[in-house]
Amino acid sequence: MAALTVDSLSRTFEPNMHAVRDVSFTVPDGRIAALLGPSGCGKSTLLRLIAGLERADRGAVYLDNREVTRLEPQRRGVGLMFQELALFPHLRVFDNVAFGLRMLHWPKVRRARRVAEMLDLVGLTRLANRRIDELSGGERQRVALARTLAPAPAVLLLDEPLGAIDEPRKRLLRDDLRALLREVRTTALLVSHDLRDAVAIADDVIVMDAGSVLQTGELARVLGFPATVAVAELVGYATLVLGEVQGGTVAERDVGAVAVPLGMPLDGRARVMAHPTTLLAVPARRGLGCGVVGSVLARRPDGPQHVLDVALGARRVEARWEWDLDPPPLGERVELAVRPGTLRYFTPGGAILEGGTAAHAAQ
Amino acid sequence: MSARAGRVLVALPLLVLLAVFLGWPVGTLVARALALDEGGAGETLRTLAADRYYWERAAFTAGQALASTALTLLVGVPAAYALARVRFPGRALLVTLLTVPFVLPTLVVALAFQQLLGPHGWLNDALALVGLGPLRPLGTLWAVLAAHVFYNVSIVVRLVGAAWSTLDPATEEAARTLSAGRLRALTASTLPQLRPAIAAAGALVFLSCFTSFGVVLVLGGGNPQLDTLEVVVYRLTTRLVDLPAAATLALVQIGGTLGAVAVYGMLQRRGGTLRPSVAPLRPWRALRPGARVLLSVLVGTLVTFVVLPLAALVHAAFTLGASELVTGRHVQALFRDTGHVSYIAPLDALRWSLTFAVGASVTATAIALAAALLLRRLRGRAGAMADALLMAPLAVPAVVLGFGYLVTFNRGALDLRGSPWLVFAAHTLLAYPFVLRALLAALRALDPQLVEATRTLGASPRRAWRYVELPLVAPALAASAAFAFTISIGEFGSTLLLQQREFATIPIAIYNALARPGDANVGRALVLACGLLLVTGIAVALIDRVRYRVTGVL
Repeated sequence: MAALTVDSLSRTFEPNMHAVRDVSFTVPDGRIAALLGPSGCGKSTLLRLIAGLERADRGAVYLDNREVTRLEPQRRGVGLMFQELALFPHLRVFDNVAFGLRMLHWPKVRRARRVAEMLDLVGLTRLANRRIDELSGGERQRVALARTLAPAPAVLLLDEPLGAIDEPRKRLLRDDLRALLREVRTTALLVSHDLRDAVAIADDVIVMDAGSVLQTGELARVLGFPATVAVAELVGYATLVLGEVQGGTVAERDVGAVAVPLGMPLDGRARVMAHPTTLLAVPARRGLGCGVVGSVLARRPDGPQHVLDVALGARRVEARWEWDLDPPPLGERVELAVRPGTLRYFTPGGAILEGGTAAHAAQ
Repeated sequence: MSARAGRVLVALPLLVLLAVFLGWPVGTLVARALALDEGGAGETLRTLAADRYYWERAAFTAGQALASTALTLLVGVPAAYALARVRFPGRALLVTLLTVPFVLPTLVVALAFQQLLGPHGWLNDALALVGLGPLRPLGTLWAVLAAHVFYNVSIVVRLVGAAWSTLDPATEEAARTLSAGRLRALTASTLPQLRPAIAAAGALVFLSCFTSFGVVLVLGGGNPQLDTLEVVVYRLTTRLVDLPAAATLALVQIGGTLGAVAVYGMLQRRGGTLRPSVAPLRPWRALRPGARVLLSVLVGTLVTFVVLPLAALVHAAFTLGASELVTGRHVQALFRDTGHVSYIAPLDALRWSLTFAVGASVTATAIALAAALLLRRLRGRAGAMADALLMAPLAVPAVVLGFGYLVTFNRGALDLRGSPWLVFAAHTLLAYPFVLRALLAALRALDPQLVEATRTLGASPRRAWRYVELPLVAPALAASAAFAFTISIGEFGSTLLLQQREFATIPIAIYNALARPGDANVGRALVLACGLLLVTGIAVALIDRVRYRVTGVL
């Protein structure tokens, strides 16, 4: 195990096309970080740079204090689990898991013991002699994980580890993966385009877009206080009000106004955002909501309740409807209610404002 | 050593080999054709151009090749459909059966058709039963065309079938839901997607028929109207010893084959590597009754077409000229030294055939592997040029190559006339392009992530090759080596020009026996052909075992 530090790493594939631009962060020893961002934002390239499968144009990669930037991939001690798993089709499960140990010249007996240990860890002991094409998707995924873990890499990289799994099984495998990674207590960096993977598995999160890091930090902190509008949107926040600050509120025509918390240094224009999981739609003009009103665009049943799409000017926001078993008719005006302390305020430049006491705002 | 230095280290010997054993002989042919050493540049060309005979031969060669190609596609494309899309009883057997003619020596094929179509062959026996006949197809174009379709149909079935099986059936179904009829869906959606594969297969079949030699020599029955350019080059070299004329025609030949090779190469690249996903086969029961009848007729015809000539060959070998039901006398006669100057001991011939075949197969596979490793990472224009250069031997017909060697390696220290090494070199060069294509396809089908995975698991590039890539391409390697073996063991055109009695191969022994009259000699040829059939059959079995893991021309 080791801490992974990436310092000002850059990689350009074509002139002026930065796949990874000046990226820096640290994953402390034994922690699991998720690299989050839309498809094509440079996450996979960053992993390949760390693993040594791509050459960096600039910057450095450190494992603890050892620089590995110029080392060949086989000398780095970095394990990479591929999105498509890349299991060796000509080898059986046992030999797939043993491959890395063989490359490290482990003696046969020790090798067999370690492989048995790894197969036991991922619960595949009984499949040791199976061919890869005889395994299910989830079993293959676990073989790939066992193969990557077997040589005890200093750092474990996982490229969309759940990308090839269908949705219902994903939930189970997420829990499996989290439990496994906790058990081996390895430093891990996990790439995903699905926020739910990060939430379920990681301690820390690194948000990337267009080759650059937008924010790093503890998962709960980044999700609760996205540093910029861009990060907020990437982790799922929606804009409630985008308008002028006047008389202690932020107001937008045809949408409404929300109160500004006491002491928050806002003037001119501002943007107020909230995460859809914290929003409820309620009947309008009864003094129940936060002052933002829109009309129902669409309704989706979600169990016995409904989720509504609410039009706020030209924007569309998702909110749960728990007022009644029957949803409101299309076109009906509804107001949005917010769980206390979950509205986030941003400057016109897109930076979050944390002055004042946000918790008071909605009360 | 850097990767670039490694590539140069591999490329250099390859280029030297190609320059010495291909570039130099072809260059010598050019010099001979233009009679540069006699100061009469272009004289031969003018003489030949003024002679109607040569124009006729060139036109006939191209015409029969086109007709053969059209007929082969007509038979092969429906068969490719059946094998790629439908699971019917005996499907696997048919696939194996169709591999056999492709790897059979042309001389064996010619002999088989001679026995089937001859005056006392099964065709005329059958016609006589219903009071018809006799027909005399030997010595006519029909016999030649039938043999050409016979041994080329599997090229079409393999290339088109492989493309068809990776074609998403949903595209045809989509066309049908867009209110296209069954036929419209086929012509508007399926065939256009298959066009590159069909054209590539057509180019290869054309190439094979354009350079047809053994079949014409045996089935042409001496009819000069059926002589292809390849046969004319042979006659000019050995009978008339008009080397400048032979050299000029050889170059015309190369011109024609180059065209076909260029078309093939272009389509090969456009087609790209085959996608690994293969559409599921439709079960036999799911077909409509009409389709089942049609398919049964098609499969039945194919099986008959493949089995009948070979059965006639084996039958004739054990019945020819005998009053009893089965005779072993031709087998016994084979081992009795006739004392005739042209007698070739069968075991000696077998020994030389196997020596050449094993040597050529190992060498061609080694060279092709080096070339394939060089080519696999090259893309774009550089890749296309390197590919064309390394595939160049495909454009040189066998007789032309043999003739080129005769006029090149005949001086000083390099006077190799009468040496078995020239036969070995020719066989290697003739087999190599096929091995290269198969290996390249196998290498390019490897998932690059597998190698990356080995690297992150602590393997150097060399160990990644040894433990992952090599085991994964090993089946393709074995299959293409076996294929090279069959090419060499059946090789006839170049061997006929380069051989001596001391190292004659089985095809030469067959031809020698055929050249003399009498049932005894024909019987001898038939038994030898059966032996060759057996050896190639074993090689096919080996190819067949790894078939499903190999993509490409094979």
